[in-house]
Amino acid sequence: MNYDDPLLRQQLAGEYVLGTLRGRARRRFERLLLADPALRDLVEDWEMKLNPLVESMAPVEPPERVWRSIRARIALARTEAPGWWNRLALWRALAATAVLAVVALGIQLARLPASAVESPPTRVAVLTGAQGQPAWLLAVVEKPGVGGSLRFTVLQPQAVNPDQSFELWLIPRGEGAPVSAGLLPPSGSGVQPLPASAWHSLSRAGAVAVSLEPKGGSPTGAPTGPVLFQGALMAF
Amino acid sequence: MVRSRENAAAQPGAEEMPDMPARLLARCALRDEGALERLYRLTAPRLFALALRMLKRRDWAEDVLQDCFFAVWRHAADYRPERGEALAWMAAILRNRALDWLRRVDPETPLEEEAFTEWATDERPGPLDRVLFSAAARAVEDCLTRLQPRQRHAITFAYYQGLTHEEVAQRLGEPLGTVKTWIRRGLEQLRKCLAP
Repeated sequence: MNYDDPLLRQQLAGEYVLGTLRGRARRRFERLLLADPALRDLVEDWEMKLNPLVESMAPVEPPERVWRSIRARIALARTEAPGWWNRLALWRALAATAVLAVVALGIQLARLPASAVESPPTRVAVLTGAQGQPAWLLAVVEKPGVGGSLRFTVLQPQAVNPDQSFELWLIPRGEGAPVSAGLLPPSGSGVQPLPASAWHSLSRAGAVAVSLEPKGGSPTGAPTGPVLFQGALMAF
Repeated sequence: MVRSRENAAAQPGAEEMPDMPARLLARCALRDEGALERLYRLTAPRLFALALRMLKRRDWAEDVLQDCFFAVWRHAADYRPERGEALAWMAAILRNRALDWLRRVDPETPLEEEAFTEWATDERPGPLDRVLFSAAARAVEDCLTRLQPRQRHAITFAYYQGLTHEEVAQRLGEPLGTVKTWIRRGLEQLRKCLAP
């Protein structure tokens, strides 16, 4: 089938939302959706136009046990997963890669021209992906009492949809929510100032992570998308 | 819990303003569990009715409703008010889950058909219900009314009951190819009618 045909795309999106697209065709369409933001847009359009039909349903009060189950699931999710940033396994894995990371960083810094290292970094991190592949090299340069800047080098250029951004987070040790340290470009290297809030939480941060967010960064101030890369933040 | 339910029932004016679900969703994105409960009290009965009609079994409808609200809680930050109504966004989550469920269940499983047959006769709301509709709901209702009756029947059957082309054909006693064409043409007309 030619999925570029605009009429066919409209038709499939409509039948997908109506629910008559079933079986293998439905699964194939869902795979297409993952890679095709314009098609997702068509689907969302249909959903928002057809689904107000739910207002015409005569209400049926669900039994109270449904709400109790929802509340229990939320409570369970809260205690079981206090957030990926608090998971013990993450810290063990990070400790194991820490030595490697510092060695790698030493080599990279040695390669930088002298002018780029005029202020030595105080903290460094190598961000790795799920399979342990190094993706970003980060160095924080602190000017006490003034602020900090973030030097980054992409080790492995990343593919990202035009409507998405990579956002860097400082992960505090122990309790506490991640603090945004700004967006990272998918390729190249550069220096950017550390946001004030990130600068203030720098001393408490034990790790950094990159999540995939809507373009321009998380709308909520907390990571909303999947965490793709992470690494320990070490004094250098 | 019981108290907030009474409150919701006692002040329909304040609680059922059209953008109320959107505001509650925004609070859910900030991890306000009280907002989720209010959202549930406000919207679950309509969503449950839709789940029941699609799945035709209470236990399945309860499970899907539960899944739906857990997903709403987790993804509340993804709702974009500029794209449409919060209730429609939630109904999309519910319908997707119900369709997934229908896809998984054994087609041989007997459904509680008898209790639901009366719905088959008229899928449309009466004029009194329409007074309370949002603009978006009135738009889609008006556009449905403009379709040829058989196109409209096929589409509302599929929408409210989660039926496949084959099942719609069976219910309407029409050939499969004919029903597919009605639905395809009906959707095309709907799209044109609903275009901004």
